[in-house]
Amino acid sequence: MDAREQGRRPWWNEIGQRLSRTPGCRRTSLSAATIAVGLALECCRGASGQVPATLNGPPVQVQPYVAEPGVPLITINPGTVNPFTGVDGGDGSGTEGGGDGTGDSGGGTSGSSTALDTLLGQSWGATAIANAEQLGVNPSALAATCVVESGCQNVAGSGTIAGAFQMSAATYTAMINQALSNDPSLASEITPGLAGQMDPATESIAAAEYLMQGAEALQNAGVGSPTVLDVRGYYNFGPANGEALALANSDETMSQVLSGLSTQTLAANGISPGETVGQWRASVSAKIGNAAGQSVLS
Amino acid sequence: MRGFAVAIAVLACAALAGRVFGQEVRPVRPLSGYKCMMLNLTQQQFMTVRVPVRAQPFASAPEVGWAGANVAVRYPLHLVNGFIEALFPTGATVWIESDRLRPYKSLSDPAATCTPAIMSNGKPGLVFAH
Repeated sequence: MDAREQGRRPWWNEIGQRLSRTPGCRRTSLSAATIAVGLALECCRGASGQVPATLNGPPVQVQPYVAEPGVPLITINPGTVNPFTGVDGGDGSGTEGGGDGTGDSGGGTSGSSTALDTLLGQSWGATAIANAEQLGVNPSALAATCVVESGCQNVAGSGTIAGAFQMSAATYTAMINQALSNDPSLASEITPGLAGQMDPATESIAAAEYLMQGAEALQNAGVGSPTVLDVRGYYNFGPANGEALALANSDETMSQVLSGLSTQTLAANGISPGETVGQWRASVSAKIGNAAGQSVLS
Repeated sequence: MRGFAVAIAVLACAALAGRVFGQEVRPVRPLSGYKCMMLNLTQQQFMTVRVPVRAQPFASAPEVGWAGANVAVRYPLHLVNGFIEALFPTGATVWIESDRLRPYKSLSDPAATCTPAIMSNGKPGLVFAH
């Protein structure tokens, strides 16, 4: 090392050398070094002791103690683990499906878990999801439908409307026959006749078929990739009204667009006078959560 | 510095507008030569029946799709073989059985009007007003 390099000697070296020249300081330096090595070993032992942890149950939830204005109360209900988080588009954290329990005709409670979680919470849920996948329908679309219609409860409705998917007898019959015509292998899985309307697993086949037909009809009419929200109008108000709703602008009123329905019929379907298409969409989206923007066809 | 701030504000507003209105198409101009009609169905039929629209004015012509509740039809009416010429939302010319159509008049809002228009995506659409 030449003089110039010595001139650039780091400051900590100089301090060290000064300390080491100080009486008693060598012992201090040794003690400090021992402590440092000990700490380093402890750190290494801590690091090597880490093992992967598997999440058992829902993650720890924040418990708010001050209500935030404008934010709805969200309760996480631990339930069946959702194996379809990918298709659901969510993160499985249980925030979808903020239904208000005012399903269109079933009046069921959708709870605050995801639509898929709600569906999977039923004994027939996994079968319904398999049926949807077999027909090429996004399981989240089917789940959102039963959440809105009945809270996924197998209930009676008005007139001939019944079941977890609240289909009318005529629509159910037409759709189950169409599904069986497309895939005869389904015949071994269904409850035959109109009794199938009150068997949720069987009705799920008819509902998935109806959703698929709705999505295809909207595609024919120029709606590129029909979403659950787009097809919701078709499922709720029928083919002609559904197409009109999917193509309408948000600032138009439901009365203007659903021109063939009387005020009484609109009211029976929860549509208030002057309600805009945008307000209806927001209301439906609030019930079905993040499934609303997903494609119906898988 | 002030110019930079203004530019940022303009960009932010544009982004917000795109987010809010990005999904919606808006009417650009009225579509001359067309008027609104609606399907001639009962309320019950509106909820269940599918009215086919066809590529040509005869019953065996291929089905293009199903009619929506409200339809833009050629006006003065172009009637061929009992079919009325109409415009599908895709922009395609289609034909609908004439007895399946009636003048537009909303049951729940009789003062409502419907006007065919060209939308901002270049396709035909319907504009509702009073």
